[in-house]
Amino acid sequence: MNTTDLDGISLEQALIDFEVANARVIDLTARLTSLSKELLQAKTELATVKLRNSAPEGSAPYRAINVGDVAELEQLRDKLRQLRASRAVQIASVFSGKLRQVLA
Amino acid sequence: MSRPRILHCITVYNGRAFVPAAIESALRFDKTDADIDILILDDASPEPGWSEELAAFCRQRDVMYYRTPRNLGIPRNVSLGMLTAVKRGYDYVVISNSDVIYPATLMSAMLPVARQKGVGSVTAWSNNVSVYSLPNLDPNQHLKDQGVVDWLHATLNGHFGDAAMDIPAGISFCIMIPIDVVKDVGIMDPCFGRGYCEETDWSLRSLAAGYRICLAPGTFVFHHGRGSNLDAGIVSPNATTVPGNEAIIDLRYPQFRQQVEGFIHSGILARAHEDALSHIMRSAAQQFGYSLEVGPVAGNGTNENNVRVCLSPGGYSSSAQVAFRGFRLDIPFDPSDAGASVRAYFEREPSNINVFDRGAGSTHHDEALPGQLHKRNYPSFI
Repeated sequence: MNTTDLDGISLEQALIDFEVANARVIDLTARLTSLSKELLQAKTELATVKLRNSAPEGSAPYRAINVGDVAELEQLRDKLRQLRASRAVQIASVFSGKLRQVLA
Repeated sequence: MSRPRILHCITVYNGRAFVPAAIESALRFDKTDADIDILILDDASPEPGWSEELAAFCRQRDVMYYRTPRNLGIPRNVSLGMLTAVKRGYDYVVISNSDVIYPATLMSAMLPVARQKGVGSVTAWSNNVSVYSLPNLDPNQHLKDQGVVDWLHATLNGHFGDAAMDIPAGISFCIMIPIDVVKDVGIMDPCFGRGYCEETDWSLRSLAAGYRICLAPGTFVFHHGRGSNLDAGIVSPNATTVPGNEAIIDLRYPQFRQQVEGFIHSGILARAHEDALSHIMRSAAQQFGYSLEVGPVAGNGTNENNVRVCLSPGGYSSSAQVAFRGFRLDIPFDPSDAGASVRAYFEREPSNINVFDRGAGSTHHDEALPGQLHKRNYPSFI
């Protein structure tokens, strides 16, 4: 039926389209991965802000959220270790089963 | 300079009612300035028997015909034409819809524009070419005729010559692209699926590559509009575009809508419309004559070739309405000497003067011009 043969050109065009589509899939996958991470981080931050705003000041959840920065947290943990290692706590644990459970 | 070779591609999808007229008018192309080959790209039209009929039609007229093995969609069908032009050593490719009527000397008018420095694409002017359209009340009634298209094209070409109007985006209803630009910018993006907005994307890519996007005001191609797309079911009868494809344009070119608004409000287009309509009216009046119509009621204006100038009586307005084949234009005139103003505008006397009146006024006219008035429609519509 055709009066001119464009099959070869049509095939070449299909290959060009495929190359473009393939490059786009690779690019979009990379972008999707990166944006998913970003989205997860943003969701976490949003949830934290929501909790902070909804918990009454001084309440346990409020304190749990507002623990301060990482350095402060490390400082508190260090203090806890020192307390646990202190002679007074060691002696007290000899006489208290409950204290031994807490320190375990 | 050797004669340039042009591949004129007409994309087809069904369209039994209008495709033959488009091909016939393309076969009339004047080949003084270029060698022109016509390629019909049938995108696997599903209408029973139509592809066979079209193939035979093309074979009889020595026109290249190719039916794709499966439906590609407009962007990929257009790309096939662009790639064919590259592969077969053409200098220019023209991409065109199939619901059009071309003037015979279209290529001679488009080529000088396409040859200008930095031009990446040239869109023909038309009654239906997106925001650039020359406004007409009913193009199908008034303009869908080979003789009228030839006349309008010659008239506009005589006035605008090879002027190039820079526009925000090209329209592929009839667009000429130099092959070097195709090689540089590439083909249409297939992400536009079955079509619409692909040429906007392409021309904005060409703009980013440093090329000008131009419209040739010295041309005129009749375009029915949306014929192929309605047939293909891409757009519904009441819709003008594909929202999903517009969203891609918005994402890729966030400034584009503002650029179009800016272009429209710059006044360039309005000035071009006014210049074109004014020249069309004057040329038609010179060639076919014009009638001066005065009165509070309008006449019928049965002769489409006649330019009608309608004046309101009593000097209530300082502009007159001029009408010709669905085109409308307001022209300024001096109410104290309306006749002289109109004569000066058209640089000739009117072919006839018609006065339309009712009631008591008509009696006075009857007394003033005994035997010269034709009365119609009781009680007295002169």
